[in-house]
Amino acid sequence: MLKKIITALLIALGFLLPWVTNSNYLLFELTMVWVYTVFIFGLNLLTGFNGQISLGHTAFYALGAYICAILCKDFGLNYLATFPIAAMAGFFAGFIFGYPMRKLNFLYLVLATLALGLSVPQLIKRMATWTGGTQGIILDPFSVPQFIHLNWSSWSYLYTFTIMLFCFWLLRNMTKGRYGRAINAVRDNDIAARAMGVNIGMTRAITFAFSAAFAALSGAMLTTITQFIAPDIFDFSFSIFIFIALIVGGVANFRGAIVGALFLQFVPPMAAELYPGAPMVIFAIILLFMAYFMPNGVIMGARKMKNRILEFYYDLWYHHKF
Amino acid sequence: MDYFLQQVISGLTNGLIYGSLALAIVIVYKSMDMINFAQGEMAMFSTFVAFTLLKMGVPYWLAFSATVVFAFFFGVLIQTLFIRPMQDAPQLTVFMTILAVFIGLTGLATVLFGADMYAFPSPIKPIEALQNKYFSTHVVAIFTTIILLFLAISSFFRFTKMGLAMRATAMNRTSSQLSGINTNFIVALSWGIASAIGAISGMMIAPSLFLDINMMATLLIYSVAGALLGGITSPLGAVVGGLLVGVIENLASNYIPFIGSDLKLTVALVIIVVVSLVRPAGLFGKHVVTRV
Repeated sequence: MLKKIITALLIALGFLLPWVTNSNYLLFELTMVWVYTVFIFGLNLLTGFNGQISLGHTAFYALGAYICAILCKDFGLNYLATFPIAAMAGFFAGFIFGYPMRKLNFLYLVLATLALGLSVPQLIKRMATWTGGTQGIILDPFSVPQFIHLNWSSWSYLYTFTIMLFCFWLLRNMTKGRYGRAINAVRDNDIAARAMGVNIGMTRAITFAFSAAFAALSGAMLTTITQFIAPDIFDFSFSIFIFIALIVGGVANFRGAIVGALFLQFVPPMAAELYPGAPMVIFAIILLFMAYFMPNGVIMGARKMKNRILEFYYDLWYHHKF
Repeated sequence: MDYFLQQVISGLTNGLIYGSLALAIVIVYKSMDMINFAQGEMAMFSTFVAFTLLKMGVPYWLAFSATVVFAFFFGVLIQTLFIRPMQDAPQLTVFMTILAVFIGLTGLATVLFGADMYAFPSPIKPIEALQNKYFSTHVVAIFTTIILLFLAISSFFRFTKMGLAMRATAMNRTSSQLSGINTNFIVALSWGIASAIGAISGMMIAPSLFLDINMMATLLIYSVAGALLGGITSPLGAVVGGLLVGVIENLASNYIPFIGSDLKLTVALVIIVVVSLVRPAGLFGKHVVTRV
């Protein structure tokens, strides 16, 4: 009960934030956090719930971003209308990529997606007729709908936050029903899952497609916020960063996705400031720390730590044990 | 036809390098059922060590041998420090550790050696008789080295007691432990050997590319594609697969205009997917049946 009240309060606070703060920069940063959260949601579904892995989801992120940009610029579509189109395109692209990958085991999936992730900037540059090549696409500033009396940062914060919550709700429900049990079964024991009548290949391909859809949606949101996209945004280091963010948040933890997104938004600049030569070294240390001490993410790690501390005091109090 | 031949041979040259790195990957894979994604970065790091030694004025072959020895202990060290504690962890956690080694080495190399590109010297003086329009002396030298390396590794596995212990550990760790093999030592040893092979291939390819910190990132993907094509458990397969991948990649980028030189990685991607779907055991590998 208490948990529910706290969640409700946090969501209310999230919605009221544009009226609480007047720092547009803070709002922009949090907007980016919600964009990344949606991306990490997709990876959570893929890695945490289905046991697959992808280092190449940047490709679908880029796909969503470019679809949004092209539809707005060349077809004059409203930017909000591009979100469902981008998500659907991501779903289909994910299915086309994921279907042949459905039988790959973990290591080969790492490789195949690594190859995809490494070739994203080249692919974008190759399709220069649509994507504008290295120059990227610069969009005219978007406007806030007329009936809403807010400035652009508050408005963009609000719609990204809403979409993020919607995705959270969607995923919560998706992972509970038959489909949720099926993807968990495929992760834990695919032979047993098959014996239970789960179509393993299709389940894996569809999960890949769903996670790609979240990545594409997140990419489209990114375009509406930065209003400028170029191939360099989607280079391989971003794929690595987003993977580390996934690990920090915890692979099977949707609330952790927010933690991971906060990490992705705030830690890389800090790392670059702390150690300008090579922020990568810091990330390696963080990743090692996570692998050793909290392989299930910070939230689970903190919970485990709390239990251990409570146990310690319990023993101390009742059994006088040190 | 002449152009075609030239392309095949230049593909074979790349393929040799992929093959040697694939050999390193196969050795680690056999010892712990995991692809060492940091193999390329470890090789890059060792090559930079060789470069630093050469810059200090050390004669080439001395620097070469010193680097191979360094690479061996470097591999053992990384295995002992980072990978061994993860022995019984889930695959994802092991992968996290390897990824940490991967980006850590990239970062460390940036700090120590800078992000510039360097020309790396080749010790081979061109010999008139071996120099023609298809290949150069350097290629012949690489070819010879790789063949020797492969023979040495195969005979090590086949004829020495240590090699037997390594094969046993790969097959069944628990049983090997029960028969008195120090499996920790064996796994560390295989990391060391793999790292030394990686260093040799790094030093051999660096003269034809430029030496920089990202030299090995894409090379690794081709190598693993080669290892996979040849059968990830077979050293012979690794070399043959590497050669094949080199040729296929070079022909595809020259004869299919859409692929060109930018999208060569897609070729590796297609090879990985096709092999995994059509023949997961590769050309020379054995199909492994798992017990439920």
